[in-house]
Amino acid sequence: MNGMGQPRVVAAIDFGTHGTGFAWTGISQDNGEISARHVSFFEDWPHQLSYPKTRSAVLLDAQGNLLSWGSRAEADMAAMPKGSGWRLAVGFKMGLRDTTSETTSVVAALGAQAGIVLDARAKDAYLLTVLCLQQVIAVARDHITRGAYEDQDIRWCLTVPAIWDHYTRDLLFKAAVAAGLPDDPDRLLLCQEPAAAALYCVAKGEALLSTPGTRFMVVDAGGGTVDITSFQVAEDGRLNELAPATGAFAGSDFINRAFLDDVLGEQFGTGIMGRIINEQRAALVSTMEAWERAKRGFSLESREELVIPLSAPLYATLLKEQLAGRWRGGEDPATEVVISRELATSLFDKSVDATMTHVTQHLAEMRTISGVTGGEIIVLVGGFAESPYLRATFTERMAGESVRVVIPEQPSVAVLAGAVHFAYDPSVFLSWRAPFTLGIGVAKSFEPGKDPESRKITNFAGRQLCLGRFDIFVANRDALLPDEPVTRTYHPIAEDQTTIELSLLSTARRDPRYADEPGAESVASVTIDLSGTMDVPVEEREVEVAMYFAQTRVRVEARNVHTNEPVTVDIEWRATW
Amino acid sequence: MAKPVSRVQLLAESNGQYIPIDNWLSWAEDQIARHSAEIDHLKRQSAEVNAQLAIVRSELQATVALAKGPAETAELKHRMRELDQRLNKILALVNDRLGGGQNEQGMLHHSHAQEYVSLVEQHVMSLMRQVLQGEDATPMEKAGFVALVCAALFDSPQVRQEDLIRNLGPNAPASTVDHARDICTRARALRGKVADGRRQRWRFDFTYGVGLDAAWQEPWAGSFPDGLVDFVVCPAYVVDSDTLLVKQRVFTIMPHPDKAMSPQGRATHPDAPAVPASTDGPDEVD
Repeated sequence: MNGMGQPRVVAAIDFGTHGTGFAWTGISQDNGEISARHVSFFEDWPHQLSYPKTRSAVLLDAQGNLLSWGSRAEADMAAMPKGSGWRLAVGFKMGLRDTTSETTSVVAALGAQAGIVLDARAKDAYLLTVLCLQQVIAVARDHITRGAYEDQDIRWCLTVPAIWDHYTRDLLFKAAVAAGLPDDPDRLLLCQEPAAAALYCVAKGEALLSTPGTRFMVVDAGGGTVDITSFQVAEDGRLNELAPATGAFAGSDFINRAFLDDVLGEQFGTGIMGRIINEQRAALVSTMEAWERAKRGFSLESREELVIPLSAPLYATLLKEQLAGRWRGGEDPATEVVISRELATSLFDKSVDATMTHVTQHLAEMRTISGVTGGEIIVLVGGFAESPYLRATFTERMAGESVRVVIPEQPSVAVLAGAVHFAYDPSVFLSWRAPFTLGIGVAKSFEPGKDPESRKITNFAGRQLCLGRFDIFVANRDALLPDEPVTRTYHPIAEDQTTIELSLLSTARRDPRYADEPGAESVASVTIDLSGTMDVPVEEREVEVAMYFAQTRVRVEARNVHTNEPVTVDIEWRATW
Repeated sequence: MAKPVSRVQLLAESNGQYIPIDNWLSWAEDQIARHSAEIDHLKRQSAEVNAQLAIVRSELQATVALAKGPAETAELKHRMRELDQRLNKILALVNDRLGGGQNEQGMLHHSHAQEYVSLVEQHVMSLMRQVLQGEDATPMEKAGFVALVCAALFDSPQVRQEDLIRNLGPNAPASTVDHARDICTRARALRGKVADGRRQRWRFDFTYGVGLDAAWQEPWAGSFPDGLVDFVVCPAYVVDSDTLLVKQRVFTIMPHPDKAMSPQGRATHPDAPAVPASTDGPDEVD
């Protein structure tokens, strides 16, 4: 940080289900213009070929101690003794999210570039995330400070899926702090992945994305999820979120699952493949990488079959299975697996159909909210966006919708580079849509005929009040302005009241009336001390509550107006949102 | 007059082979020539950065000396802000030039490298299946065909399309010839792309008859496990001086006492595919 408390460099970490990378840029006048900003990417991860990402993986011993991480964790796995209790953990990012909701039906996501079937409901996902981030952060910090910057010069940014709720975002923030990043919302930002991708497109000179009035949707099609969000460009060029982020577990992992089950399992036997997955996972890695490349090469126009060369270790393993009499194939296994165009198409269509369903729904919501139909831009990013099949199908199915589809040059780095741009200037986003209604439980004027008599009370001045009303600060899907807090003032009900306890409430409903109606939940509480102002006339005893809505966090500040003592709430977001 | 040839040889630690020192010296000269311009450029930038840092430092000292009372506070803040901006500019310059990160243009090589592997795995292997269908080809024959195509595509200054088509034989169906032409077109497009930005090369060189070096080589499917390198199936993709983006894929065979070693590190085994001589330098001697 400089003397004025401003960062000198910003660094973004794209912590992905399969891979993690980081990038950074210095803050200077020469870098001020987003389109001319020089972003540096790291590609020298240890124990792997030069590549912008390393595996989000940790290898642990029986006691849970870290043995190795990243790509090395996978490589080391092959040499681990059987039965010693070690385990390779991958895909734990997915496990951070609340698993009581729809994720439970998804579960067995597949490591797209590793061929590893994993349990997305890892109970220790938080701890695994901390362990992995510790190593990644150490590499990033070491690299950035090896040059001219100091650790305290850095403002960090972590990317999060748009469909993550506040609880999960907060969990990642805490994991990052536990892993060594500053516990300071000004020095550690979270950025929605599709929002970051949108900034990348702006930086790449997609002029319409900076033109006031433009409405655009970003579809981030990754391995495990498809994340969708949309924006409208404000008069000053900043971005207002249009429809709340949506998404689904419909990424390309599902095609990988089908490749393992329907293709390799069919060809070599599910028992053999199961044994390889459990005991020889490393032998599958290169083959799954080849499958990943084959996927990215497959297009609507493809007339040829897909050819997936088996890795030498997988081929050797299959030969051993044959020698051991466990595989009944009459001849030597082929050195490659061939998938017909028809089968490949059917595998792709399952995932593409799910993606398109969500895109269509989101587009409809954009149109409802804006009141305008047609002329939207759809930006397609993420690893799956490199698939010509997805691109062509997407464009074909959107042909009748009067939209323009934009695919940046390097969709796979869009999120990482975009997160750097966000960390450089978070104010580029003007407003966000509230994902739920947020308010405070209070007593309001009693409305006869509307409020039940059982809720009626009389305050110190003889005024009739209704207890347990839901005072809405922001309604579900309302625009949240990060720079403008929503403020309310409250008075005590009783004359001898020495504290006011405010209960922060949330619900999915837009217009809740009571704090205890179905769906409304208390998410935190704030207690304001009035004891120092008991000599002030009761009608003048006033507390002020302000809610600040950042992109990924909500902060509540309350203060006794007379003593001016603020109370800031440390909200523990609940997993039920 | 012919250049005198030294008899001094170097023992390469990587594979235990002796290499003529003249070969090594010419390789080293080439490497130095390649990098000297970059080194000079970095030296100039480093000197510029040092000079600017010295100016900022002295101005900072002068500014601190100015701060004698409240009256100077506004001026001090103004100058501090100016100096801070200049410092940020220098730090960003240092980061850009010496920070070790890769810019977005450089990152394109990762896409190109993937495109290269896809070209081999999807198109070249598809051609291989087309050509060898019904022949009950062994893994080595299949790998040999892929090696032949890869050599035609990447082991000379231009794609050798005619050589490739000739190798398909006079009776090759038109669809197979078209397929080969399409592959050549794709290879030319890829070679055009990789020529931009970071220096790139296809690494074909290898040492025959030794175990593969897992740091930069990996076995092709059907190879003999833990065997000796017989031939290169497809080259490594290397950028900058030695940054490996894709490993060289080699076919390995069972050790055999009768098989002769090639002194030039080129495949000479009678079963190996006819691979043309490399345009690269001599073997690594690191």
